[in-house]
Amino acid sequence: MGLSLLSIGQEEKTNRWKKYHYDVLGEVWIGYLNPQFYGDNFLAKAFDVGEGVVLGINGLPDHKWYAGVQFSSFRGNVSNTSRVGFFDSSRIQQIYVTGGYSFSKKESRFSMKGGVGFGYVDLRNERNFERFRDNGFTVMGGLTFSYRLNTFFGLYALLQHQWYFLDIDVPPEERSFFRTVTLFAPSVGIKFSFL
Amino acid sequence: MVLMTSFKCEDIIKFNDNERLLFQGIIVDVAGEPLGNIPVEVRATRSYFNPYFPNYLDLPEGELSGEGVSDSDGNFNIISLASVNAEMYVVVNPSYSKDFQQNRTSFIVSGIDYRNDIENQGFRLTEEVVLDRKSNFRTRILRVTDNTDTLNYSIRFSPLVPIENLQAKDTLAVEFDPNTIVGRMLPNESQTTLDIVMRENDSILFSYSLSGEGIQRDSTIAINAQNRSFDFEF
Repeated sequence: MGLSLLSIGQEEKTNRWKKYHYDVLGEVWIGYLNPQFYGDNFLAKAFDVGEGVVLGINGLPDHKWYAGVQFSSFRGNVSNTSRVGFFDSSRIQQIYVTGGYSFSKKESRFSMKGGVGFGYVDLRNERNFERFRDNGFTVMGGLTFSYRLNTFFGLYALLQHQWYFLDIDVPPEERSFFRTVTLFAPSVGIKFSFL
Repeated sequence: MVLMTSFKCEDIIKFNDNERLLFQGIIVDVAGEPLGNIPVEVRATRSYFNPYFPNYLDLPEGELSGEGVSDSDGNFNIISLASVNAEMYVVVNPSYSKDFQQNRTSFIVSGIDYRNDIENQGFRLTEEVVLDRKSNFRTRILRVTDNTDTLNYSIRFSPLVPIENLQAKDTLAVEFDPNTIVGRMLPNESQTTLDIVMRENDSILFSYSLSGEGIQRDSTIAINAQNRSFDFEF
C-alpha cells in the first residue's frame, strides 16, 4: 500500500512537471555578461571593457518559436586615448528585439534555442562631468542552453555574437575602425518561467 | 546659507555626438630628421585665439580633446573629440616648460569652419612641424694663471629661449634676465662649471671682465652637435 502511494506520488510529480513544462508562456532571465570585443575596432583596441548584466524576456506562443526583448549594459574604460579621443569611459547599453526557435524536446529539462536579434546600441561617453554619445544599430545571433531546476527556476548559458554598426562621422581611413564592431557576448544566469 | 554657482552656458565646450576628428602631421628637427616620441595634444577652447599670431605664450588653456605621440618616423595620427562651439588647436610638445625635450609649438587648425565638409573630419598639416633639438652644453671657466682678479661673466642666449629651460647647476650663477646667466669667480676659486640645457644650433654670447682691468670682452660660441663644450681659461 505504502509503496503504491509513493509510486502514485512520483507519477503525479512527473506529470505535473510535464504539464507545467508544456504550459510555459514565457520566461524572464537575468545573468552575468562578459563581453569580448575582437577585431580592428575601437572597442577592441582602445578600451578595457568590464563585465556587465544582461536581462531579457521571452514569450513562447508555442513550444518551438519565441519572441522577446533583451537588454544588456556594461562599462568600458578608455585605454588608448590617441585612438578614440580624450575621454574616460563609456557605458554601453544595447536593446534587442529577439526571436528564435527551440530545438529541445518537450519532455526534457534541457533546452537549446537558436535566435537572432535586431536592436539599438548606445555608448554614453563620459569625461569629467561632460557627456556625449555614440550610437547605432546592432544585430546578434546566438544559442541559449538552459536547464530547468523546477517548475519556475532554471539556469542558462548564452553564447551570442554581436555586431555594432555605429553612426560615427570620421575620416574615411578611420571608418571601419569606428563604425563596425564585433564581439562575443557569453552570459550565464538564472531563468524564471511563468505559466 | 545656500551657495549658488552660476556660469555662462556659452562658455561650456560641448563635444559632439557621433563625431571624431583626425589630426595628422610630421614632426622633424631643424635638420629635417624625424622626431619620435614627441607628445602632441589637441585642445578645444572658447577663448579668443588669433590664428595670425599663434604665439604659444598666448595660448588659451583649452580642454584636452585628443592626445598622442609621434612615431619613430615623426608622424602623429591623433583622434580627437569634435566640438561644435569651440576652436580646435594642436600643441606639439606641451610639456616643454616642465621637462623640455624640444621647444613647444602650436598651430590652429580650424581657422575655417571645418564642419562645412561633413565627409572630411581629417586634418593633415601641409607643413612639417619643425622643432629644435636640445643640447647639453658645458662651459668651464678655468683659472690657469697666477691672476688673482675676480672674474665677472655673463652668458647670453638667444631671446627665443624661455628662461625656464635654462638650467645652470653647481654654479654661482644668478639669473636676473630671462636670457642671461651671470656669475662671478672669486680669487680663491680655480674652476667653475656651468651645465646648460639649450637649443642645438643656437649660439651663446660669453662676456667677461677682470676686476683689475675693467674691460669687458665678448666671445660668441656656436652650439651644435660637434661643439657642446667651451673652456675659458684666464
